[in-house]
Amino acid sequence: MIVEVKGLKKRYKKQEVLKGIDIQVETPQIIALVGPNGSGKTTLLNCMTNLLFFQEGEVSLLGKKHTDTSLFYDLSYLQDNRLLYGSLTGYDHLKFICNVQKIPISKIKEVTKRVGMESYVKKRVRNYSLGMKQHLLLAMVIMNEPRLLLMDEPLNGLDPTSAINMRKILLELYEEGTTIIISSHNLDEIDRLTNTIYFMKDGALLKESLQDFATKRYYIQVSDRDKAIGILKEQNILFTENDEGQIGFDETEVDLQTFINLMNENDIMIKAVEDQKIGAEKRYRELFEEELSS
Amino acid sequence: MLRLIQFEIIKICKSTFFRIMMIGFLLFILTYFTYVYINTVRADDLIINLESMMFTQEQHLQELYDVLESNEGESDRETEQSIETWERFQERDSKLLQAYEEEDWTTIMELEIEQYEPGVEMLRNDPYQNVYTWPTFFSKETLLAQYKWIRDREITPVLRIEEFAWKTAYDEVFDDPIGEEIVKENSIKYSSAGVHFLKSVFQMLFSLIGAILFLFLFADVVTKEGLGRNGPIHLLKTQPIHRQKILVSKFMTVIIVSFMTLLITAILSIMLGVIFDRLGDWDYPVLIYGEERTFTYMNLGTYLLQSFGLFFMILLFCYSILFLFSVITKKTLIALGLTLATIIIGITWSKESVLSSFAPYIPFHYFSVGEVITNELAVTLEDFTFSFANGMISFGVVSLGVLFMTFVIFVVQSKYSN
Repeated sequence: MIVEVKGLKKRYKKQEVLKGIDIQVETPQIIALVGPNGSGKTTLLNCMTNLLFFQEGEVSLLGKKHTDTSLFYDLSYLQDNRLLYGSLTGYDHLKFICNVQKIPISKIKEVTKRVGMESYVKKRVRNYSLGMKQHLLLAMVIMNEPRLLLMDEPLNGLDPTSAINMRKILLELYEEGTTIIISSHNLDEIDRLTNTIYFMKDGALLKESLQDFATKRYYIQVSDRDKAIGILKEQNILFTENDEGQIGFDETEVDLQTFINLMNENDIMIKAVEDQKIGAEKRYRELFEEELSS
Repeated sequence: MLRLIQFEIIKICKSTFFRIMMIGFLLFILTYFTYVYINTVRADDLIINLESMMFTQEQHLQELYDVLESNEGESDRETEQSIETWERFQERDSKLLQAYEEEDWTTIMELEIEQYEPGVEMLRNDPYQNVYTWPTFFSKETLLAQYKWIRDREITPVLRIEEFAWKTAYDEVFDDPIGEEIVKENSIKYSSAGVHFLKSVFQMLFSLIGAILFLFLFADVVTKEGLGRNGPIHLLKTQPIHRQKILVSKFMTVIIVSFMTLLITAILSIMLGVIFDRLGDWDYPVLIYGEERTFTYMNLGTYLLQSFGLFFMILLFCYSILFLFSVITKKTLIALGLTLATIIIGITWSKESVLSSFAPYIPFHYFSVGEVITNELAVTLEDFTFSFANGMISFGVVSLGVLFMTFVIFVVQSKYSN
């Protein structure tokens, strides 16, 4: 098991900020944590990495208890840039990582090139822009080629080129077998990175978000709408109807070919098929309708 | 742990505040050396004085010869005795002048001992020895012993070497205010020779002021990590490092950087001396008071080493308090303020509790390094349990206790971090 979080609860005084989080990740994937400010995303990541104490629950990462510091040979956590030392250079930071993680110093050159920060790696961090700091943080967390990478708002302050480069690096890491859990507000970037999005609200993971997330929704016009609806109900397939008389369903409910076969078997003719991409933002709008309307 | 310490050292050494403080410290040493160099009494200065004195003597002798001649053969015993005395002075001063010109310190010491010893020996069995008014018998005895030490080891003395340039802790009363002023002024001897200048630097630095300076230097070593916030401590906490090692490595770093700073100060001081003057003598005598007005002399090398050791323990003690307050308050200024307040209140309180049986084990008594090592503190407090050894033990034990407490608080805070 790569990530196993069971019933994680955290309280500040009497206020419960994490309300029994359960996450299980068995195979390498990219998971996005999305939610409004104060929903508990950073707190969850901090609890998982033992930066914060939690009152109830268990966290196991890469088969080790979250308090085991040897975990950080295979786990990296990209955090807020306030953890950087202004008086030190980027190189100093990377050298420190090399030293404590027992990584050859030669790796610094490779990583800075990959991240695109060769030109300023030897400058003091206090002279870095926000984007440059994010580059350094990224370089620091990929130095050890982690099996699990946790990232808290990594896209903050990045210009489009840097954002594209970061996405490229993250996808490469994922292809190399790294599981990435990324907290972000940038829903467009999330869409480009993953389909697996865990939505958080008021310290809890929304149950809906734990189901497979459809990226496409089909709208079909059929010759006998009532008959088709009856068949879908019989098959326990969730569907919607729109004003234009179309039947809509998510690709996760039934794939298009199965639907067509089902209709053909019952002599229902398919008149038109439309598909619609369901992005993270649309999903977010559906789940956080109340907040958005208020 | 070593890698963590290495990183901490880089962090400290690269901080602008540390660099500014170091440059300021360097400038202070250079300025102080210039001051000491200017105020160092040299053989040439004494030669001029001697020549002037001998010229006056010659004139006086000439006057006496003239008196004798004007008597035209008549016996004038009083003038003849006076001439003999002045001729003896003249002869001695002439030898002294030659010795100064040749920098023949052994001869100079011989001449001083020859002149001084009979008087001291005469007073040794005197039941009415002077014990309070300068020069006390103790001062005379120690000065003579110092001359002998210098002569026997063929050491270059720090000038001046006259009686009015020497006073001890027992010289409490002076007959006249002018005399008091002269003695006090001359007994502070400066030498720009390497090891002697180092002694001056240590005497100035190894005090409460020095400890406060070092506290300022490392005031934010723990708090700048942003304990309790998303500060750099999170970088350290998300590495394969045991949390306890973070605090231990910081303490070790502060100790190492302090040691290196003091070592560099020592090397720089000696080098300045060697370049502009000479090395000086490691076995130069330093007076150590004993019980019941006894004394010994310690060589300067040992004195410097002991000073270094005791001040290091003072720093250990101050840092342990600073770390405790840093971990508890997590704020630099509050932690520093509480540390300084603790030390100042501690010193004030310790002065009031000097008669209690545990007083010699209160570390706050031992902030005046020089007075502790020479036992001047023990003389002042009339209790020889206020010793260098007890000072070292007190600082060590209390520091370890405070550090242990700090460590426990840090571990608990890390475990239950909010």
